[in-house]
Amino acid sequence: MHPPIPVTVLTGFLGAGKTTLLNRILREHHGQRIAVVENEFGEIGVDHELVIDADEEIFEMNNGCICCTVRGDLIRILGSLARRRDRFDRVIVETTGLADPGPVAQTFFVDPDIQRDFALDGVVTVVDAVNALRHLDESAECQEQIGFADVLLLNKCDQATPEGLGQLERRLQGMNAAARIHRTVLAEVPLGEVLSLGGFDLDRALQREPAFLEPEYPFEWTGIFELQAGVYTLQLGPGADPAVDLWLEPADAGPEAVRRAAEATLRWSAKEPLPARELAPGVQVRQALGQRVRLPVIVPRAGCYALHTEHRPDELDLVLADSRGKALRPSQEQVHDPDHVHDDTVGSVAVSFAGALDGDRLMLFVRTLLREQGQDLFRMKGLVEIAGRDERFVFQSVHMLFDAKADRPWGPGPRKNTLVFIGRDLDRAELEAGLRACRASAP
Amino acid sequence: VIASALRLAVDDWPTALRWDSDASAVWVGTAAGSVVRVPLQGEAQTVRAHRGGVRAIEALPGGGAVSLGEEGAVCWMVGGELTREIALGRGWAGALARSAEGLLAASVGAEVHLLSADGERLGTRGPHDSTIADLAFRPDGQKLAVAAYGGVTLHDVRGPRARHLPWTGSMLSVIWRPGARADVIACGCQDGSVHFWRLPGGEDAQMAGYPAKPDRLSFRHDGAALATNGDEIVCVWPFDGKGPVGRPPVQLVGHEGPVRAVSFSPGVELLATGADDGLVKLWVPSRTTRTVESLPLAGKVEHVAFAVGADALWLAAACSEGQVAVWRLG
Repeated sequence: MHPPIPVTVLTGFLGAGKTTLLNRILREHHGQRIAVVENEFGEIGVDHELVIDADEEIFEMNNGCICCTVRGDLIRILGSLARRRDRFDRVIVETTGLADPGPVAQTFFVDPDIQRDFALDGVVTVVDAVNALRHLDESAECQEQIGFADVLLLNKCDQATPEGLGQLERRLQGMNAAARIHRTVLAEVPLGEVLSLGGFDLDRALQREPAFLEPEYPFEWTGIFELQAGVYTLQLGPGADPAVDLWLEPADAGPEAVRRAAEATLRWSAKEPLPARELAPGVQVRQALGQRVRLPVIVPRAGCYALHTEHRPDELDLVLADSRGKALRPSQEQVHDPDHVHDDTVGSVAVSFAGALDGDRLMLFVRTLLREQGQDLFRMKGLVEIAGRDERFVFQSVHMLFDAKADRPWGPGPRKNTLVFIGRDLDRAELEAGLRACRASAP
Repeated sequence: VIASALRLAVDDWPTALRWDSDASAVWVGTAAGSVVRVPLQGEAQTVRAHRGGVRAIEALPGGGAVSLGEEGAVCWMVGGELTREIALGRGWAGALARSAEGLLAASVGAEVHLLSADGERLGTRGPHDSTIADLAFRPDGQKLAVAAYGGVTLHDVRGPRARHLPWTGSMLSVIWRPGARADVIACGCQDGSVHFWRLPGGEDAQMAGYPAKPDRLSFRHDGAALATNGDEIVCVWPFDGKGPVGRPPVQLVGHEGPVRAVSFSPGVELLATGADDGLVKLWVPSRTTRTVESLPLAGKVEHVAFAVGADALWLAAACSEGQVAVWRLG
């Protein structure tokens, strides 16, 4: 049996530098023979030996209860290439600038022959560092290309400002937390960063930016206060917005109190809170802002409490005062990263926690999730511990199509489950709660 | 009685296999673009016919063969000589078919080119809505079935009339039921099903649930059964009486790898199958579900073909390692 031939899918908007990257890959002396499946508008050097012209043809396929779209032309071409496999070591599929990468990626999951002969090594999306922010706002396809990527090449970085690059990079990371991002000029990147990704390098992607394991909180600030039973007053100044959302939640005094309280609050946080008359533990309110607002805070029993505010206290002139009017200082406080707040409908949710999962529960959760939300879930990647198994378990999906397999054994270090979901309008709390319920120790 | 008649290596992965019209030789096309004529007696002759891989070969009634290459050209060969080449254009070279009278049809992209046996262009059919995957002439040669994504289109060979038989799905192969009535068209589909239509009414039905695509179909000589791949198991559907709807197929279990080639013999009930397990197997499905004979080859068996000679039945097979084998049966 031959090992599967790795396939790299190259996407990117027109003019981003896809062709530049392709030419660089073909000209570099990497000792690999590459077959290129070029789109109908491709313009690469004609002297390359194995170039196949593809007329992108989208087929709808029904596989049992699963509907998906695939590239019909690619199924044919790969089938033919499999019979010439002694002539090349890898395949690069170039897509047109406006293509949704979904059908290309799904092609590698639906045909048993292709699954045996080829392996999707990675989706590389070339991004125009100068114009990408505009493309992202104007085009669903552009957002999809970001969402599907394993590697994002921020090209033409010499023509962009450092601030613009930082802004773009943060936005791209928010949309696709699992992708590796490289800043390039003329698509100059070590080829090891775009080829031979092994399809799965979740650890590395997440190590780069562990902050992305943090949820996107609906509040920017959390403070932990030690309060006695009684009535306190929250004083608020005018602020920039007409109203502000506020939460109060029982907390503890431990070193991770802010994070624990924030995550606990996230689970019950509502999108449309009640208008405020008073603030009490376990209640989220929306307080209209005026010249000077005083909101009663009811504390039923003494203890630690977390106060979360939609904006930072200094923006609100916020003061929590006791019954004698004395301002209180929090014992711990944290500003949550406001960069996570953006308007992209494409986004990512990364979840990480310890505790072996029950294999059957996980499969049921994943199947249900893909069936119900697969259209909006571009990709899912996971590396999990299954109860009773010594190997790591890796899985990935493209829309509703799913592939799971045992990986190498766990090392001596701590084991944990890491999953990344990339798609449209994802619900972090629901995903995380669903996954945690798959733990073998869960009730 | 099965006797090995010859074994031979060709220069690359065989992609097409056809018997010469008088059963005196087999024509083998390869992924390298060569067409090799392998006579039962004498030396093999190789024609470097195509720049791309060979997609299909058809034997010509008076001797010689014609082939379609991935680069979109059709080549004529007599013996080891390339006698004619016609470039049909750019696009996916899907299929080549020959009618009983010797009329040729070749598809490139979404268009069918009709050609006479000696290379005269007789016009085109299409373009169709999607790239053509397969072609099949009705046994009487008067109609041509064109399979593509979205169903089958039936073209009058002598006129512009066409009829579309729609089905949502990617049709990979198309075959007519043999016999004077030619009243069934069957397709193997990418989504793991076999779809068929009854003519002239156009009523359709499908057999679904294959784990892989059933892209090779073969009717028994009398049209009473349809053998299909799409699994390690070969399914043979009953097409006698009311047909396969509501009736189970005969399941032939024995191959230990995906089945790639399926072919009923002409005249008598004998089924040959080839699979990734490197075996050619012979079956008589109406009598027993057990293998009648297993013939080993050096690689994945992708092609099997029968021919009726003057005094014997011949079977040819080709496998991924470039091995071509011929057996004499009975």
